Amino acid sequence: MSLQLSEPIGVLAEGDISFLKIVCSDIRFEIGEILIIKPPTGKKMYMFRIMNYENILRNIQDLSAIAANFLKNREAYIARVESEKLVKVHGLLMGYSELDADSNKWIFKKPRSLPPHFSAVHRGADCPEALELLLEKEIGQDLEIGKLLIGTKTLDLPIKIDIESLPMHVQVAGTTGAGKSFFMLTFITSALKNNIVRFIKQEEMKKRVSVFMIDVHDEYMRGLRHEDKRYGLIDIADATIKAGNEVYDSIFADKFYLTRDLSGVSKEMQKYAQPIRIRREDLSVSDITSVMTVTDQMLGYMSMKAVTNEDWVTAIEKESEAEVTSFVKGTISAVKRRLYPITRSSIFTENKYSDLAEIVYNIERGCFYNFSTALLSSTEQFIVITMLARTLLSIRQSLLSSTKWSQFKDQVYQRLPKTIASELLGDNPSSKFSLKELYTADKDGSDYRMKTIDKLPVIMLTIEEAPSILGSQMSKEGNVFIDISRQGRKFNIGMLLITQNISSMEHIILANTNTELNLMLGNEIEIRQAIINASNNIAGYEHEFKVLSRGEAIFTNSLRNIPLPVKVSNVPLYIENELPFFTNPYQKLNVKKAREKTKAPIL
Amino acid sequence: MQVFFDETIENEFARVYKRFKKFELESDEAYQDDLDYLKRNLVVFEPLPTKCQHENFNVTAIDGSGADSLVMLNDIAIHLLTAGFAADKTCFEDGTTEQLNTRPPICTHPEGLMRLIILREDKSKEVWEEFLSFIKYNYNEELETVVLRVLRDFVYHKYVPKFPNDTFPDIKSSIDLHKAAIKAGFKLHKSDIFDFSEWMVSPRAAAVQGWFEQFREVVEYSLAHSLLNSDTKFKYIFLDGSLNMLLSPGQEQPRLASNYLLRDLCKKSLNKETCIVAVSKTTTFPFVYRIAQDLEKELGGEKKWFVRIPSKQRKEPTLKMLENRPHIPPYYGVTYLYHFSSEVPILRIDLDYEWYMKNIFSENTKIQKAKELELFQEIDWLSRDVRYFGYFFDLAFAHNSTVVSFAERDVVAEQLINYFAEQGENPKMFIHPRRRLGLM
Repeated sequence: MSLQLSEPIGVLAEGDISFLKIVCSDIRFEIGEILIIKPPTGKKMYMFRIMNYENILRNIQDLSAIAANFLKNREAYIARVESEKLVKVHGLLMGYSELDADSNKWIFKKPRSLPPHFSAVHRGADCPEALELLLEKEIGQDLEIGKLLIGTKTLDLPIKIDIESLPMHVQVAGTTGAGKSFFMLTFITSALKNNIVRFIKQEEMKKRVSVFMIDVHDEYMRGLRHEDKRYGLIDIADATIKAGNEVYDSIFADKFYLTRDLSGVSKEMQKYAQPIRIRREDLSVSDITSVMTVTDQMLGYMSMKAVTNEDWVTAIEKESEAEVTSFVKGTISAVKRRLYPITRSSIFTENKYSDLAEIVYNIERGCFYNFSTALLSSTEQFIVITMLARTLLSIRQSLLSSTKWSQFKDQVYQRLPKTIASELLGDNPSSKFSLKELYTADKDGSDYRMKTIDKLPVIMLTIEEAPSILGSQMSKEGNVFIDISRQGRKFNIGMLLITQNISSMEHIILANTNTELNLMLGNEIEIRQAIINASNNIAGYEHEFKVLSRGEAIFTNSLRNIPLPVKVSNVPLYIENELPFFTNPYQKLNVKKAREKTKAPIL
Repeated sequence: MQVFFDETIENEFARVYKRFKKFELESDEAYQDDLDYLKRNLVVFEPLPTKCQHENFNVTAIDGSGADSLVMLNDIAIHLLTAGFAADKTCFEDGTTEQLNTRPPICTHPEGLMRLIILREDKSKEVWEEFLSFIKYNYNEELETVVLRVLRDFVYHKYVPKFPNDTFPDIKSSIDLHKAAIKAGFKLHKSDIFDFSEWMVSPRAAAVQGWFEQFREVVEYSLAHSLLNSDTKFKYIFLDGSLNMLLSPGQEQPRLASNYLLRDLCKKSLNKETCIVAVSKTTTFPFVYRIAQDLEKELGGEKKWFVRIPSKQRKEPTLKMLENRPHIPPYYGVTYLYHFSSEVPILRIDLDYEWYMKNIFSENTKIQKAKELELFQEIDWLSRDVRYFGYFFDLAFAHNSTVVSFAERDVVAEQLINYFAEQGENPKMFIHPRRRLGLM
């Protein structure tokens, strides 16, 4: 595949296997630009990323001496001022692409050889088509998050996260206003679009992504504003309804907007909204210990109560200090204080009704939820997400260790509180959300054979202000997020961690993250941490972090060879452009809508 | 050497310094007289502003370099010759210049040319034949043709004032020239002017660097010739060096082949209204450092001035310091001293005599001074690039583009040896015997 390169603008001067210097006549450089180095012979095309550059003049070593000369000799000038001005560009050798003869595609490889002496250098931004071909295998293929950024120019080259990377967790870091929310909404829009495409094309569930999204500022439903445009999930949902019930059902839970109560929800959102209610019985002690610090005494007391009471929270709430003698005085009061956010919350109810099974069921069939936590305390928010994560992990663990439905049931009963287990297993007569149809493949005698996990959608749990529960102070004992971070890949459960503060995150979590999107960061410490933690080597990117503007990020992924600079989509515009797809996906995909199956007449 | 670090050397320093002061003292009287002359005749001038309204023009400069005896094998020497040029258009209004996109056909690369020659220097006839073909190849004319043309011109200038009513004879051969020369009283060194090989080489040709220098001059003049013949019209062509000619005492005819090329170049430049400016940085002009110091004391270090050196050939008084330097000013040249500032050594500027007579000289001293002033203001402006403040930037650029560093010389030599090895020669034979014996 031949490449159309622009006019060369420089010549390779010196360098080693990671760092190059190039002398260029074109002085309009920007940090972060990508240059293409074309050796005089051979089939490798090298790529070089500008990290820094300096002004130089041809025929001169010491610019300071020149400046001093100017100062002293006012009548001096620079002959050939335009052609003598050069820049010496310093930067990283990203690697090279080589044309694969079989696939006729350019395959990117990490640098293992140097471009030869005085190779010609071309500007990537001047030949975006060539750059696209060279980086084809690096830019990803599933969920669009933005476009390739070259300096301050954004190329029309979408950068995507691959679904297979999601269970290895994604970390998004950036200071306030850096573009985290824009990223989140772009990500979810892209995920919803992906799910519709897979649904319509009847592809495997493993290519679909269920997202349980936390909406701290209650902004994703209505959307984020940019200039005069504002589009959000409500617009996508409205558009999808027009595409028909089956399309809507394939990506959204019936009521996908979860909130504490409906009184604060606007009329147009009411149709998607549901007040989230969780039985106290569904909670386990580890849900509490995962999000708050407790003493051994308190843990012992809670565990003891949980063994004897299904609704152990209420039991503790009602217990008086005087009745318990086996624990140090004050333990019960302290536990009660810890449980206040639950006992005082309208979410965690004493009655028998719970939305948990429905949420789990819908997530397991590839649906999206938006959990508005604007009116919730952070503890309430964290307990809900912890409990949901634990429940999902438990059932997928059970699935992994079962081949038959009966085995699976046993496993679930062992791992989950009884009521929620029976609902999910269809043993409760009032349960409408049995996992049986989702989890079983076919009948095997009187039993059912289980599906394997890779036949289920990838689950993404977003965790906002991640250091609050995944910080270095977090309890590591029985913490479900530690388990997910280590084993999420096995169970196809990923976390999308959003933080302003990478340096405060728990190292185990960071070490298990394979995709990072680092937006504008607050200070040197965060930049250093981002560089240390990145899944690609981004040493030397310090300068670039310092010049990142809003919405600009460095995207790293351990399955890719190179870090990519990304301009996160202008989300209102992105959604606006995608709405016609959501309204009419069959037409956009050029797929004929299958007719409703009619039952064959009995002859 | 240990002796460098003990006091023996200091005694030597003292002895040398004493001699140095003696030189100054001995020549002091003559020097003071000359200094008075120079003071009376020098012109202090105000430079052009950096940005000004002035008619723009093109300018170029040529410099040569190379590597003498790149490799040696007994009596066989391989020399590397290079010449580079820089060409610019002034942009007075912007206070800068613009590089001209000129590439004369002789160039082997955008900034100049490179040649390799192989000589058996003890075989003078063979070397001479090589030299002639080298001139033909690079200068694009037979040396004979050039010599005949230049001599014809010399004779013409003698003939016409003597016989103003005669038509100058049509000179087609050396016999025609010989006849006309006798009539005009122009003494030719040889009656058969084309029997070159006996005399038209440098007396130093057989010495180390002798041939190398002469070939190098051919390369430089050839590049200048090619630039002059290009489509670009240059107002100034700067050459590195002087317009010195080698003349035997009492003769008017230059000796060296390269002198003829230089004369030819000057003549062609005159016809093209181009001024050849030869610039010497390290001049053999005696006591020029003293002149600078004394005049700076009087005028101030930052004053710019120039002064023309009187010429014996033009019946002007000879500076006493120059009594033993008949080549200053050169026989067919006019020499100026040009002071830029105290930071920069005084430069010796040689112009072609004929160009000078046509473009500067005037019976009216005021007019002549005005023309000189314009010339020096322009060339002063061309020496104000911040990188080479006080020197002509195009000469500096040309120098940079052509100079062969020791490292580059070694690389080329190595490549050359490798090439020979690839052809089946033993590379060891090129390694200097001293190096092979471990003595360097």
